[in-house]
Amino acid sequence: MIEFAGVSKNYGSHRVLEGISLSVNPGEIVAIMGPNGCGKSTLLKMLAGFEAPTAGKISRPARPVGFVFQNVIESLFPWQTVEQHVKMAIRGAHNTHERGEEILTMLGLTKYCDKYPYQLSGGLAQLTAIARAVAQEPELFLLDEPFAALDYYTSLLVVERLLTVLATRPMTTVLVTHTLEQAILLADRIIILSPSPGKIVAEVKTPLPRLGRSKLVGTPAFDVVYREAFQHLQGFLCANV
Amino acid sequence: MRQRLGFIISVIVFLALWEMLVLFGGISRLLIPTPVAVAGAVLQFFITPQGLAAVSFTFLRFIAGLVSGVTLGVIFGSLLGLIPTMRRVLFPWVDFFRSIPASAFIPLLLLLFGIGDAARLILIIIIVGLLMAVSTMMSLVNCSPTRRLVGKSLGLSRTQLFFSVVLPEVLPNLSTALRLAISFSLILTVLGEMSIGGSALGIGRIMQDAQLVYETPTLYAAIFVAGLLGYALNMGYACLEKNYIHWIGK
Repeated sequence: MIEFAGVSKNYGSHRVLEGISLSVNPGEIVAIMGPNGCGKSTLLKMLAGFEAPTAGKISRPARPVGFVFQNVIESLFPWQTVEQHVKMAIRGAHNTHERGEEILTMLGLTKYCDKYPYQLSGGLAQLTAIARAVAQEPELFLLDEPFAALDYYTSLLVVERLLTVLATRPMTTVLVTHTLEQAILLADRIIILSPSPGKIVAEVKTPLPRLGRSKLVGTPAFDVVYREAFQHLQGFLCANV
Repeated sequence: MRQRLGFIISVIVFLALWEMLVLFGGISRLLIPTPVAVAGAVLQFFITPQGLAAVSFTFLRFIAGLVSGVTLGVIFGSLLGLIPTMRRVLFPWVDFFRSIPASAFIPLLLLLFGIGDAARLILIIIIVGLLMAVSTMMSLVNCSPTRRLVGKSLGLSRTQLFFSVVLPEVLPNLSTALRLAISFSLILTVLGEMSIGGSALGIGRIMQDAQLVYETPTLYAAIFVAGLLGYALNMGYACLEKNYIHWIGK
């Protein structure tokens, strides 16, 4: 169980996040959306334990988390192959090889296991970063804008692979994203933050079955969720203009 | 193969033109000897005991200077890179001293250490050491904060973080600096042999002696042998770098 109780964060005198209270249940997938600079990434870093809150309390697992960084290429190691990335993250010495193979297969990376990051396309690099984080078998899986650098088609592919992973290995997952469609496809709940300083302004539930959710795109059930979240996000647009 | 053929032809044309110029161009052979004479003198470096001794001594001085300069430089640079206070206090000194031209140290080193190998070695250590120190410091300071966080999120210990993240990340920069250090070390070895006396052995010394007595084929040969040494070292290192640090520039 992850819990934020009245969490605020300042950088110097600049307040980035204000009064965030939020709980995420084990195995739940939560997406965080909001305008640029609203503190989404900061929230994720505090969840990871990379940064401490200025005020309020955070309960989170003590173990290291699986983190997929926004700057994927920088986060990968050019001296390691795809396979080495995955194996490095596997904890415990027993059957490392089998466990690594399993993850590579699940993410469709088997063909590329001997490649170095600089030989990969953006999508494959993203999948490698995801594979490494998943290989840690973390209690908490965090993704910072995993689709930002990808074209639309590739982002759909990454969503599909992520859904496969999350279906076979349930993990408490929090992702930051700018694309509503992908947030709905992946998450059980979407948290919407206001412009800086970020406050939670809305929570949109996605009461859709996790499996085969991509087939629901364009159906009334999908559209209801889409419209609700869209209206909240559009609200900021009006406020900014 | 075609490129290589082009190169070989260019060498033959160059040598032929050179030979013709000396034979029929009316240029004094005392200033420009024929390629055949130079080739004979080059051979002397590899078959006579004196020649071999000169090449070996120069090579040993080069290696001694390079190894000690690089070792001390990397250690000092690591301290500067890892300890911010030390960096703040000492970096301006380092920055100033590395701006002094290498040759400017020679009169002072002669005064302090006299003629001989000590002065020569210290000259290389100062220049190569400062070069490696600055490079090591900069690579450590500019290590990617994201990669450090990756290490943290993977739950790596400090030792693991150093060996599997920091070290491979700084290696490409250190390697580039090492290539420069190899060049500098060779330049300074030959310069030291020419301007710091105390030994009759060494390619630099042979150059100077040959010039004084107008033994020009030997002078040309010594220049060629020094170039050959530098070229071989550079190519050898480039090959090592390509095989062991494949992620350089990626």
